[in-house]
Amino acid sequence: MFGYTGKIARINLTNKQISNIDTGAYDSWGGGHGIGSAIFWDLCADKTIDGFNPGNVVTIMTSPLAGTLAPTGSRTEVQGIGVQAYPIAWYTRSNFGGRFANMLKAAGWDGIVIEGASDKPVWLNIINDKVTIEDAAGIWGLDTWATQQEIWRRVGGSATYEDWWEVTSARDGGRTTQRPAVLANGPAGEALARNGSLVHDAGAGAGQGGFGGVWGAKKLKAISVIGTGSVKVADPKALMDLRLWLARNHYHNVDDPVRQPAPGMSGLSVARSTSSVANEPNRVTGCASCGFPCKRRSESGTYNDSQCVDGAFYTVTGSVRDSRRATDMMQRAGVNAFESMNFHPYLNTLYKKGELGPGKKIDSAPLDLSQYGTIGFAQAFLDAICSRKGIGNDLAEGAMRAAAKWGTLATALENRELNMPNWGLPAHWSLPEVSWCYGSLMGDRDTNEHCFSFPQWTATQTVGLHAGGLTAEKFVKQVTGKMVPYSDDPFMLDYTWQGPTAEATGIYSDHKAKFIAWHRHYTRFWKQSMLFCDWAFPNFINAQNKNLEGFTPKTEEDCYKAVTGKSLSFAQGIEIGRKIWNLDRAIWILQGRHRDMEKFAPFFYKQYTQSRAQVTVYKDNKWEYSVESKMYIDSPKFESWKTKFFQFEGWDTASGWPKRKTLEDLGLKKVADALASANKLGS
Amino acid sequence: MAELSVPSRELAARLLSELGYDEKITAWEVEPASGWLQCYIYSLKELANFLDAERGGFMHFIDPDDLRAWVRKTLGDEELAHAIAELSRECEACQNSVERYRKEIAVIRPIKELLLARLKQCEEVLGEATKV
Repeated sequence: MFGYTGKIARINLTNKQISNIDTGAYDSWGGGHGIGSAIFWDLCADKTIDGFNPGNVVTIMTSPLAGTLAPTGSRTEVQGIGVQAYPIAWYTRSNFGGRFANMLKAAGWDGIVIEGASDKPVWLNIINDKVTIEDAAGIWGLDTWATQQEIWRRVGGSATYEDWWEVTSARDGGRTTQRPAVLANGPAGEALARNGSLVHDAGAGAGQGGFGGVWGAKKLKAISVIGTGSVKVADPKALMDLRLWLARNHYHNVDDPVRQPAPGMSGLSVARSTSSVANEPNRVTGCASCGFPCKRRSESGTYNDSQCVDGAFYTVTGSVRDSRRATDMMQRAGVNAFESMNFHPYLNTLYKKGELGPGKKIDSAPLDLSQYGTIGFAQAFLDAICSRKGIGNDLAEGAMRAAAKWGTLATALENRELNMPNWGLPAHWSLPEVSWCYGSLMGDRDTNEHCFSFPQWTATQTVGLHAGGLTAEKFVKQVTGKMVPYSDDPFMLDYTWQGPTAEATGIYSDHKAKFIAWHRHYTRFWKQSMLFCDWAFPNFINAQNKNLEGFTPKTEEDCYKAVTGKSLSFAQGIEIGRKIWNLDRAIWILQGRHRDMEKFAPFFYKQYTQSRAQVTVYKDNKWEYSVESKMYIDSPKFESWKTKFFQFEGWDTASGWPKRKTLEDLGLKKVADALASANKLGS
Repeated sequence: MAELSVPSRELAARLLSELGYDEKITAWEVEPASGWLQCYIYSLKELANFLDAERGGFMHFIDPDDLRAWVRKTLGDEELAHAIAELSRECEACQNSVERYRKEIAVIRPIKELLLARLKQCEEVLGEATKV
C-alpha cells in the first residue's frame, strides 16, 4: 500500500486491550473522515447514546497523504458523538493541523480508535509500533501546554532542541531530533466541559464538537506519538514535480514573482493569516509538509499557532497584546474559541440587561462582570469553566444549555443576542453566503469551510481583481467550471434572495440545492478524508498567476495518484464523498434527525444587518458582484428549498431520510437495513 | 474634518455616558477566517475606541447608516449625525454595492477621528480629565 501504513491502532480504555485494525478493510473510504465514519458505524453499537457515554467511539484519522510531501495533507480528523451541539449533540467532526498526522504515519499508523472509558486518568504513548496506556498521574490537571511539555520529558528524557535521542533502548529502535507530537486535553475537558477542545502544540486544535469533554469522560488526558519511519509514496518524482509546479505557478514564487503577495487570504502568500503576529519579530511557520505556510512564530512566544478564529477569542480589551495573551490562556485551558467568543459577550449582554450579576436572577459568582473587557476577566471566565464553580457549572455546559437553564434562550435566539443560527453553534460567514448556513444546518456543525469565501474575498476586496478584469461573469464561470461534475451550472453561484429569481436561480433554487450537495460531497472526501487543508483547497481563483487560474480540480487528482499510485478522478472522489455524507446522515437520523427540526433560530428569518461578504447575483440578465448585507431567510421559501435539496440527494422529502435505493446504489445496504429496523428509512 | 460647535453640558454628559441595553449599537469585528462577529457597543467612547480599519488583523466596522441613526435618535446629537453623513456621503452616492463597501471601509478612520474629537469637546465642556 502506498500512502497508507496498513494498520490502525484500536484501544479499549475499559479493558485496556490494544489491537490493530487492518486499514485495507476500510481504504475504499479514502482516509480521514471516510474511514472514521465507517469504523464508527461498525464499532459503535448504539448510536443514540450521549457523547459522554463509554460506548462512544472516537476516531483520530490521518489520510494517505500525511507523512508524504503532499501539500497540506498533514491534518488529522477527529470524530465521534459530540457533546457541544444543541439540542442534540450530533455525531460530529473536528480536525487540526500541525505535525501530529505526519508523526503518527512515521510511527506506522493510519489512525487511532478509542473505545470505552478508563477507571483512572491515562494517556496513550505511541512509540513507533508500540502502543501503551500510561498512568496520567502528575499530568491530569495540567493545562495543555504543561501537559505536552511533561510528556516530552517523560518520552524524550532530557533531550533538547537539536539533540538526537533514541526512541527505544533497542539497537534499531530509531533515533530522532523531534519531540513527540501530542494531542492534549485541558482542564476544561477534564471537567467534562461541552466546549472543551483538544490542543496540539501551541494552538493547533480540534475545537468544535466538545471532544475535550468526550475525552474527559473517558479519562483520557493525551495521546503522544513519536515515529522514526516513513511513508511509501508511489511516484515521489511526480509528487515533487507537483509541489514545485504549485510553488512556481500558484504560490508566491520568490524567483519570479508575478504579483506582490497580497495581504489577507488572496493567493497563497506566506503567513497570510491576517490575525497573525505582525507587531514583533516573528518567522513564518506552517503545518508539516504544508507548502503554503500560513502561520507565524513570535519572538515573545505569544500567540504561536493561533492564527485563525482563536485570535478572536477575546478582543474586547482593545489591546492587541492582551487579546493575544487571552488566546494563549484559552489554548492552555483547552476551551473552544469559537463558541466562547460568542458566549462571553452574551454574559455581558445579560449583565447590561440587569439579569445577571450579584443578587440577580442569574448569579454571576465567581465572575465579576464589572471587569468585563479586562484581561483578568478572560482568565476568570476560563477558570470558571474549568472549575465548574458557581456560574462556571453553567458555562461548562455551553451557551445554549446555559441560556436554556437560565430561561433566557428564547429571547436570545429571537433577538440575536446569541448569534447562533443552527444547532447552538455560532454564525460564521453564514449570510449572505448560504453555503455556510445551509450546509451547517443540513449537517452537524458550523461547516467552517472557506471554499467560496476566499475566492470571493480575493475577487472583490483585498486584491480587487474585479477591477482588473475578473468580472463577475468570468468569476462565476471559472469557479463553477471547476465544480465537477456539475460544472455546467453557473447559477449555483447566484445569491439572489428576493423576488422570483430567488426561487428560480437564487438561494431557494434547484441550482442552490446542487451547489450545497456538491459542497458537502467535495468536503467530505477531498477535505475531510484526503485532508487537504481548508485554507488552500479548493483553489478556484489564484491571484499568484497571470491567468488567475486556481489549481482545483487537477491538483487533488494528481496528488492522490502520485502518493497512492491509484487513479481516482475528481468526480469519483465527489461520489465517495456523497457516500460518506449519506453514512453520516444515517447516523444523525438514528440520533433523531428529521427535517422538521432543521430550522434556523428565529432571528435568522428577520432582517438584521449582516456581513458585507460580497457574493455574485444574476440580475437583469447579467452577473454582478454584490454586497447583500440585508439578506435574511424566508422561512416558507427555505422549506421549499429543503424539499429540492432532499430530492437532489435522493432522500424522502417528508422526513429528510435517505431512501433505500439511494443507500444501496452507494453500497450502503447495511445502513439501509439499520434505518429500516429503526423505522427511519425514507420512502 | 467638520468643525462642530461646542456641545451643551447636557449633550456632553449624554455623549460621555454609559448606555443601557436598549440603547446599544451593533458594530462588527471582521477577520477573513472568523467572519463577521457582532459586537454590542454601549457608549460613544467605546465605539470611538473600537473602530479601526485594521487592528491586529481585524477590521472593526460600523454601518454608517446605523451609526447616523444611533447618534441622532439615541444620543440626540443632530450636528454629529450630520457630520457623519457628510463623511459618508460618497458611500451613499455609490450605486455599486461593492464599491460602496470599499468606501465604507475607507471612511472608518475619519469617522473615528470625528467621534474622538467630539468626545474631547465633551470632556472640555464638563471639565473632566477622562482619557479617551
